[in-house]
Amino acid sequence: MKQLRPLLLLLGLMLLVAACQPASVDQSTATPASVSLPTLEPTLPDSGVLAPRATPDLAQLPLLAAHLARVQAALQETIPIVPIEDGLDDEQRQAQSIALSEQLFRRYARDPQTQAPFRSEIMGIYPLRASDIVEKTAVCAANPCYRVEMYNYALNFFVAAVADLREGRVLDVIGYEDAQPDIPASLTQVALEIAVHAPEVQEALGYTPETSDAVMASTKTSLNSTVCERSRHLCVAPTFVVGERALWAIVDLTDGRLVGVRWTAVGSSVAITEKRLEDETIMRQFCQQNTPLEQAGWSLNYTLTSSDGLRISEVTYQGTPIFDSVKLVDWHVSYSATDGFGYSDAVGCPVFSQAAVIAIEPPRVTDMVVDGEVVGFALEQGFWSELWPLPCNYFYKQRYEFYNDGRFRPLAINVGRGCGNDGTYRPVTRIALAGSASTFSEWGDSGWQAWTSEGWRLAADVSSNDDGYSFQISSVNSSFYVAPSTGQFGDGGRGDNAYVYVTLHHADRDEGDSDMPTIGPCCNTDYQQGPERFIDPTPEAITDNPLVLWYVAQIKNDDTPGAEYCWADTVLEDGLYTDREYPCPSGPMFVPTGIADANAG
Amino acid sequence: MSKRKSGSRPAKSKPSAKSKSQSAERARRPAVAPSESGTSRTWLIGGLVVVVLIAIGVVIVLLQTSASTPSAPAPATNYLVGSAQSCAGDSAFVSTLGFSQRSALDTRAKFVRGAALRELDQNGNIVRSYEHPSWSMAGYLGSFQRDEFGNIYLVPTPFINILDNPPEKANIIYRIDSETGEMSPLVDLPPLGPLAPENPFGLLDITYDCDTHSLYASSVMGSTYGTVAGSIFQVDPQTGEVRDRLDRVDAFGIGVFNGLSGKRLYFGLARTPEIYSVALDDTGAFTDDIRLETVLTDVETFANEHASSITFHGPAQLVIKMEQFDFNLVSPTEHLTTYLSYTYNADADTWDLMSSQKVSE
Repeated sequence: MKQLRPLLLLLGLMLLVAACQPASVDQSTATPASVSLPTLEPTLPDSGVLAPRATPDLAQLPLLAAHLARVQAALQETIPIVPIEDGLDDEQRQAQSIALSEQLFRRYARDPQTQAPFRSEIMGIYPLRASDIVEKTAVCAANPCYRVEMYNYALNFFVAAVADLREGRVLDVIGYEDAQPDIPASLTQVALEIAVHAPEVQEALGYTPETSDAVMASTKTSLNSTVCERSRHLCVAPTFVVGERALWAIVDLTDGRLVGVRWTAVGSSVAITEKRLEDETIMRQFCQQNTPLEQAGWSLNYTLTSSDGLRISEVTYQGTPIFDSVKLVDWHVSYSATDGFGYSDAVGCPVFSQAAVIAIEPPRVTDMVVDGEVVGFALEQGFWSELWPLPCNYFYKQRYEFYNDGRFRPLAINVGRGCGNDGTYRPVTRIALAGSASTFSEWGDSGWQAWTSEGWRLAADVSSNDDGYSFQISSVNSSFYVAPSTGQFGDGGRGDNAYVYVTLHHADRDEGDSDMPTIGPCCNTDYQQGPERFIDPTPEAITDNPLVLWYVAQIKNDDTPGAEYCWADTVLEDGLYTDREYPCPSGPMFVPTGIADANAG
Repeated sequence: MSKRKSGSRPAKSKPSAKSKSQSAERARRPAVAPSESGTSRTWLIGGLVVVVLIAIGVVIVLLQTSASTPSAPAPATNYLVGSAQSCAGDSAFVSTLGFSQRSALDTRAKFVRGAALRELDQNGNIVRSYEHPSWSMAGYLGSFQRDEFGNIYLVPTPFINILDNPPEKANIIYRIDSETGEMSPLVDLPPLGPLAPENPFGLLDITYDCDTHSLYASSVMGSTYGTVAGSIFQVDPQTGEVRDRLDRVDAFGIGVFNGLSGKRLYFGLARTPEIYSVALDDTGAFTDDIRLETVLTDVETFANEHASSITFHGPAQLVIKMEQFDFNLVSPTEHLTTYLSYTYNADADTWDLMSSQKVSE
């Protein structure tokens, strides 16, 4: 039985990882005074901006370019470690040489299985303090000893060697997982260069700063301490003080890019980190307000919800209302190897939400280009488990495609990796049609046959017309064919095997217009995915009525090499782990009947 | 505990307090060779077991009454200096079921929906389990406490979604009867404001004061991103009557300690890494004497962690469990927590930090 686990397993497989060191807090002894209950921090109006992910423009960043060149050169060497070259005295240089000669130290710079090099760099060389001397380094009480610190970017791993200069050997090697050493002066300059060249920093400050502007008077240093706890990258925060405010610019030295900026009040004791910046910015800009978008004849609002993903609303095309709203209610994930094992995930805002998988980047709007021509635009939002692509972590995407010709496609995309290779993903999409008099039809032997009452179908059980359409929505102002995916869209999708439901859209009853809790369990393998709850026991008449269309794709994952689907993995490239994504897109295409018929004609 | 407004760290190094499990890292990345400082780590793993056993607050041995008698000076009130939580009595139903004294109640959501009684062998292996039919009535459960009679008080805690834990029932304290083992609702605590759809949480922690026979429960029901609407309740464990409440505070972990200056309820904030305390009067009611005990907001490695459990042991030990909490239903596969261990400084009526340990559950 799996339950027969040792006590430590019972207690959650708690493993010690860092070490019995004093916490990073000091210990005063002042008796606390009585205070008032805490209140929320006042919010600065322009508190945070996230920088878009982009490849750094090395032509504008010569220090970064030079540093990366050194990294690439080191990766080709027998010892793939970037040493410190400048600013060392003779003893530091000797200590570095001793450490780099020590196999126990060097081995942290290569993958132990493949011997592929990790991106690694010596970050500091410091005289050993008396307080650092332990049994293994007791001789350092008499001998000159140095602590040589190396950072492994791939593993976010910090290793230190204690080098005895007199004996010319390493006495001890100590590793710290998920930890970073202080960075050398050369990397400080790289961080400052990235910060001062970032448009977000320049815009926030209102001028183009010099690197010398990033100096904090209180600490005599240009960098604030920060962490990139989500990406697990090496990050620092050049800080620019302007009057009573300080601008933190979080710089990711692993990727060589700006993460974002955030103002604080001078003297604030709150540490600004990658996660805090992301969460606050997304909450304030996308969870607490609608964002209008007008492009290519389309007009809509979008917002991140608590548990229904990225919701679009008031969608019109060339002035004609098309949808009241569209959103992704749930992801149901079941694993066939274990009956009833799986999860029902909501996606949504990063904090104060019912989401299990959250947005940590803002939504993006991108052009869709086919054969060099812009055919429309896409609005896309990702939702991550923080440890993705580790097993049992998830990466979901929503993508709304708006075509110049009036076509529309809401996609639910899974990018793995989940808890096994026997998973089936069932995203539940809710589409509230605009207008008060729509009719939903399916193709049959006698042509288009209107549904007279609420119901559901497995799309595969419905035949399609000569043009490949199975369903049609018609109203006074617009008519669409609805084409479930059978893999025909050229996006790598292999077909949805979707359930389609149509329910009456009640004006006086909230059946999903507001944010919905999880509406179905993980592991039903039939139509009972949640939308059926809104079909009345006696299905209501729906002809020429306001309607809600629900679409539940069923996507089986695959980890077969070369045929991966709904899957993700990591590979070691250029000394860093990079993600390999094998997305499985799903979702129906809405095609205006006029366009379709014209093309057919 | 003392105010700590500024962080310090080992010179020239930044071993993160938010360290990652080596085993978990290996699951994703190829393994790296272990540290040459293996001796210290081995010792620490041994030490961890102790920390876990005394601090986890999720699994407790049910038939092992801790009747420690603090040998400490009397405080300004009538209580001996030390933990006010050390009277937990035997749960008779455990013996009735034929379970041995090495039994524990398990509410970990990854392993059980509700609660399960686990009997362990000498090596800590589970040899058998028992679940009373009523123990799943509240969905997933979290923190729990026993009184001196062996009754167990539990709070519901949603896991991944709210299918089994509807938010409108998130403020109900449940009670497992010591004699029968049956679980039933004790009280549905009234929130300050209406349910907020973006906040699926209600009760977060519960503790018991053996001196005043009071249950205390922290709740964040109704709180939103922009509004603090949580409360700490003092509840009669027999009737469920709310004796007192401290409003407008989003508290997570709570614990009661009898210090030299009197009885205080310590509470960690659910939004920031800060610990406060409030003085309690002789009936266990809240006073206006609230003080800030410690602040970790400026330490970047604690930026996302909050005190989810505050546990006092004997006359002079405090263990605070810090973990990430964002008012969402994210359930990381690797759950990182920090255990901060303090010793009571009776001269100053403060707490001195002794150690910090990072663990992965």
